[in-house]
Amino acid sequence: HPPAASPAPLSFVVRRQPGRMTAKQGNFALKPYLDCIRETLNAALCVTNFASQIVERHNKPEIEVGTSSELLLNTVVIHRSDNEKVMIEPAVNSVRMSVKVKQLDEMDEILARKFARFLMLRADNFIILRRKPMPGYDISFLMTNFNLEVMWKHKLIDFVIQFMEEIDSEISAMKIAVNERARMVGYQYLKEFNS
Amino acid sequence: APMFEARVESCITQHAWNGDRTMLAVCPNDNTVILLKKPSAEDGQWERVATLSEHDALITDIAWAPRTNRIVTTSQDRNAYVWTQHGTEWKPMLVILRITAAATSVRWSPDEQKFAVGSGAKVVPVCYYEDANNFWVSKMIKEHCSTVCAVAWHPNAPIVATASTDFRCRVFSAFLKSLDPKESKTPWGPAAKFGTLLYTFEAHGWVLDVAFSADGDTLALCAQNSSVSFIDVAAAASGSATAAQTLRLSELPLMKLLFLADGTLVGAGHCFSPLAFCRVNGVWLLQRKLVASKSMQKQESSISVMRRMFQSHASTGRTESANTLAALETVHQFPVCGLQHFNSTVTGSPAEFTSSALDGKIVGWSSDELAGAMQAMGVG
Repeated sequence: HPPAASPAPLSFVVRRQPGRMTAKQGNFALKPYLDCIRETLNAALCVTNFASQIVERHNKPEIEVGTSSELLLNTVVIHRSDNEKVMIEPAVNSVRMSVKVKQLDEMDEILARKFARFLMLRADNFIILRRKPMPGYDISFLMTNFNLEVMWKHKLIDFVIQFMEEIDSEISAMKIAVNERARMVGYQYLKEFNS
Repeated sequence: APMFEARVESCITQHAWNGDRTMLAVCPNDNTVILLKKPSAEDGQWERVATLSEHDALITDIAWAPRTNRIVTTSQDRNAYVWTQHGTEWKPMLVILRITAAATSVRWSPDEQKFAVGSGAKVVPVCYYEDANNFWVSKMIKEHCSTVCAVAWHPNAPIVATASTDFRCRVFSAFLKSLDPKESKTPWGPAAKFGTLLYTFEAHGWVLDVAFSADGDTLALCAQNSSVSFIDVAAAASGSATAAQTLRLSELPLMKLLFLADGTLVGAGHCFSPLAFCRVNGVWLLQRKLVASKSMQKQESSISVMRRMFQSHASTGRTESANTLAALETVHQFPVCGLQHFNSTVTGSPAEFTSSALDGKIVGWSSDELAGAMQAMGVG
């Protein structure tokens, strides 16, 4: 009999190494986290073309179909902190990767949601993006064997890592811009009453 | 070290050579098989001789019987066809496989009178030609719990080994009363009834490929957890607990295995270079990784280096550095999905076996001792 359903996902907490950060490299603290994700994706993206064994003439991503438990590998969750994590769910012909972006207050939550929604509405152009995030995460990727047949695997992983590097900086830049705009509007309005 | 490298199509999944290695059948990742003729002169073109198109869906495996010159192709449309050559044309004949899911792999038996097909329907049909009905008919081997990824025939006995995604490699009897001689002997004693399970090996990952050595003494299998297991057939038949030896690799998983004539095992897959394994004092070891020798890599002039850097900056917006190098150093840029015996030459370059990958390349390799010894000195 094939093995039972996979156990609870493995979790890794990636700790910063104190005393190694320099002022110049802003995302130096992010490097162990991204390296861990890169190595995990390198192993998880060993996918091959696999026709459905349940429906004849079908060839669907097994991670989305989910009915044959022996074709799904153990889920790996990589935590950077309590509120930043990545979940990688591999299968025989597809891998689903979900990202939870760091959100410290409500403004961050709104910005992350709007940013992710903007991307997910244009998921066709993105090719590997999933239209709905997995529950508990902000954004999800679905990489199938068909994507890997036309794209280099190491380049695809480079792209995902670069995306993760930039999403943090984009959201904090947007937050600064929103606060700046609010401050400017308030200043211009209250200037009238400051005679 | 690779002896020759030829990009024959834009991408290739499976390939097979004919008996005298003059023709090559490739599947360019769609529902056709293209037959190519080997170039006779240096820098010659591989010319297309024929296209076999009868399948509806992706072709998963091609097997070319060397002596009887028949090609059998299997596809994800749950059909198989046996192609025979009539002059310059190849005529298909349908095989009644009776499976309800895709066929994944096919292998001719050593006597080329029957072939075994691995399928997603969790059964292995063994097919033979029935003169009375003028059709290829099948008998089923059951007992699998999941898709069968690969099949392999024992060189001397009517035995077939199967690799499956239910984490097991199994060995079955494939004794057909009408075809096999009555007194066939197998390592497990006299030939048992068709479909009898003789041996099961449980791996810790999906078993992706299985292969018998040329003398039938060793059964090798590779699994998705980057391991290769070697099973001593005689010890396994006598029920010994130490029949299997498993090697854990630090590379990405292998997808295909091939035993060479001198007893070394070659494997390739998600680690883009082939790995060679040999037996030393009864223990199997990873011998070396076959990489491109320095002479194969073309020397780049400084102008072409500058042009390449400018092009990458223009097209990707980032300058090329060690981290963002576009092409990998290995010969193949995609996972290797086919390994075949070759033992012949292409325009004067000899090779023992060839590999095919989705980058469209057929690369011939040979494991000559001199290159191996120098590599070992450099590494160890």
